[in-house]
Amino acid sequence: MKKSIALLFLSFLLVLAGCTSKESDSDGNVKNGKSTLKVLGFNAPFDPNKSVMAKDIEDTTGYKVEYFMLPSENPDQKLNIEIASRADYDILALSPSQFYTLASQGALLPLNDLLNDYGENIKKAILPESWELTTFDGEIFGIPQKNERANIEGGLYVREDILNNMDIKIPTNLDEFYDALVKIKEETNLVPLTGGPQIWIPTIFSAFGLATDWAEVDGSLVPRLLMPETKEYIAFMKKLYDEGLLDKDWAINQPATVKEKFASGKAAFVFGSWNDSPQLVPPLKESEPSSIISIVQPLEGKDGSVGIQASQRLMWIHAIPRYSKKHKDAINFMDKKLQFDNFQYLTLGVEGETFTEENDIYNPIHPLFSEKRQDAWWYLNGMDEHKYPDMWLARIKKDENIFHYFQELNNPYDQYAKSDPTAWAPPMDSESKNGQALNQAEEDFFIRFLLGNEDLNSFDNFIENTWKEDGGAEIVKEVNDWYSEQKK
Amino acid sequence: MSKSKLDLFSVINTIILSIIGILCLLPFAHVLAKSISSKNAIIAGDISFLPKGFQIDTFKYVIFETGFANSLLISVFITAVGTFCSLLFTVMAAYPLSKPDFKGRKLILLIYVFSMLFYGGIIPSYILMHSLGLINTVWSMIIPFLIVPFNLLVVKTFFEGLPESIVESAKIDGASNMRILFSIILPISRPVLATIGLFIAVSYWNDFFHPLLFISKPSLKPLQLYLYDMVTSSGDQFWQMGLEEMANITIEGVKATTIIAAVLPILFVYPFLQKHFEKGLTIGSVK
Repeated sequence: MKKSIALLFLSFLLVLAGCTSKESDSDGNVKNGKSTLKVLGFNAPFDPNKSVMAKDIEDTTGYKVEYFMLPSENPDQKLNIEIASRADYDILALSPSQFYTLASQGALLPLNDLLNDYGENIKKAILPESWELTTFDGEIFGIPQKNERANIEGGLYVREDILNNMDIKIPTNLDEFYDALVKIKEETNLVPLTGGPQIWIPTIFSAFGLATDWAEVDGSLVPRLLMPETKEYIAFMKKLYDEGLLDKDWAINQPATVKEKFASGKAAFVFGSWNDSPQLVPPLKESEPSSIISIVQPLEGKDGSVGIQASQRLMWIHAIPRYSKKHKDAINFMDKKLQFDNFQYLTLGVEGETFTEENDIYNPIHPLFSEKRQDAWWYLNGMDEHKYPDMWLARIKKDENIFHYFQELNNPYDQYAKSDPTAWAPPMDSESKNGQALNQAEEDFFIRFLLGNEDLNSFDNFIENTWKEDGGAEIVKEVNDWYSEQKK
Repeated sequence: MSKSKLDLFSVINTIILSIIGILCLLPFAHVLAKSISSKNAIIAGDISFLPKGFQIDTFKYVIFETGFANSLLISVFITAVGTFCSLLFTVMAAYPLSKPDFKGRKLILLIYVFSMLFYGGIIPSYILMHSLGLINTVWSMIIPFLIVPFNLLVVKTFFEGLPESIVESAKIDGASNMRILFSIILPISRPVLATIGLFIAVSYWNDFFHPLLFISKPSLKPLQLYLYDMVTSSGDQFWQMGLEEMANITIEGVKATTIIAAVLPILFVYPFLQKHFEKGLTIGSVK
């Protein structure tokens, strides 16, 4: 008796295990508010399902959405496993390399017809040249999302109060900069310029005409490392190091320690982004209330070269897995979010309540703006490329330091900003294979160079025998092949 | 003579081991100091081993306003339910295997030992869980440890060491196998249950690999995965979240506080369990 009960129980379990639960499959028809969409996004330190944004998006679009996240380290591995096993997602927010990998594997759904039928707002919001970035052989595989606004991200922070005490102005060219460093070394016990371990300081190499990562020379693209002016630049940096004008810990510094040195008042100049200002300025103001922290604009060279690379890149691509059954709903959902009033509501909130607008200048209203629209950035599935660059400034205005230094860096945008010809290039195979190792080898070489163990001759040697051999030549070739395709 | 040798040796021994012990504690002291120091002190890198500018806002933020509490609950649930189920299954598997006259015993044991030596791989595990529909459920984190062959062997060995007479007298009285197991064997197996239970609980509590693989729902992240994501996340996103505007909160402070908060539960519980751990390490070796 007991044995038969046991057998019955066992067989019941087996049957249960055999039945996999299937999602009730809709035939992909557009139903308002009936189906739950599953969105997979990148890692962030909060639960998107619990934010006030989730409810607002549901109310605006009529769709219930469940949000999932990739892990912070090695997200690509998890993504590949999940897509290969047909994990249940309807919308994927992908980094450029993830996007190109999945698109080349045929894992993504072509969106052309869907966009024509249901994506009117999406097509309106995004400029034609942006669509080219996600189109292969005429088929669009994702909705491109660029960084909010081309802008100058970094500059040289300087203790203007220290300069004032010595009666010198903020330097505008290389000679003035050098003189300022020398005076600081002689008359104070501050480290003149702190940085490291990288040798590259954009404000300085601007004077050598090296503003962009790649430059066009006689019709082909040359990376900064191979430009002839680079040798002059590194010789200049070596001179600074030898004369004690650079932080003597340059070789062992890390980005965090560099910021700490400036923030604790031990250094006079440091390179940083406007994003870094909350970490640099408040501690300094607290420990030294008389400090004035200003920005040194890109330095001008003897021949008049000056400039700094503007930050423009493709940040995210929103795609639909080929096997998703709710593709029509997915496009409809993203389309609703890009309809302009909805878009404004979901990114800035309610006019008069969370933000104000006048003559295209948007301002946040504290504290409601932060309370309600803090997390809006994570939920974007594409942005309105006409208006968002201005709307985004309202988000930066949340923190007065960030906005102040953003303006300092970007008011002279037209004067200094330079565009990298490879800004919109797809990720290159050769770069993902060898890029990291090459960068490390380059960094190591320059550290030895600063310390005096290498010189300009061994630099040539390094380029020819190490950098080019270990993948550098491949990268240059691949970039130029892409570039000649573009020019056709 | 032997007394003085003993003294010198002990003294040097004690000194060296104390130094090593303190060195091990120093990183922890540093993180602890960071978690209760003021924002500007952290940013300026002024913290070495003592806090500067005491504040507990970061702790309040981490415990009440982030996903920390939720992840803690998930971990506690997985550990409690997982340990109970695992003990149940392990005992039920080990008992028949401890009977020498059980047909097919050698084969079944071989299968278990084989799985102890070889692991199927990440992708097959994922596909298995996916086809069972268990991705993004709590069970995907509990099932992997339900039967650990090592524990199985330890329990089996213990059962084999129990006197046959008790079982025989129960059989004469007409007890069924299940009744013998639960009413007679288990009560006298407390030592092995406590020890194995502890090992299992620690495996569940520390597990981070299976959640990483099977979970993408943020609300299901157990504590270790939450901690991992928090510590490896980049500062960019914290700025976006407007963390820096809050009075005493900064990224590094939040990371340090999360680490300390994650370690505290274990710190509180460990002193009570220490002696069981020590016993457990030798229990498998005595026949």
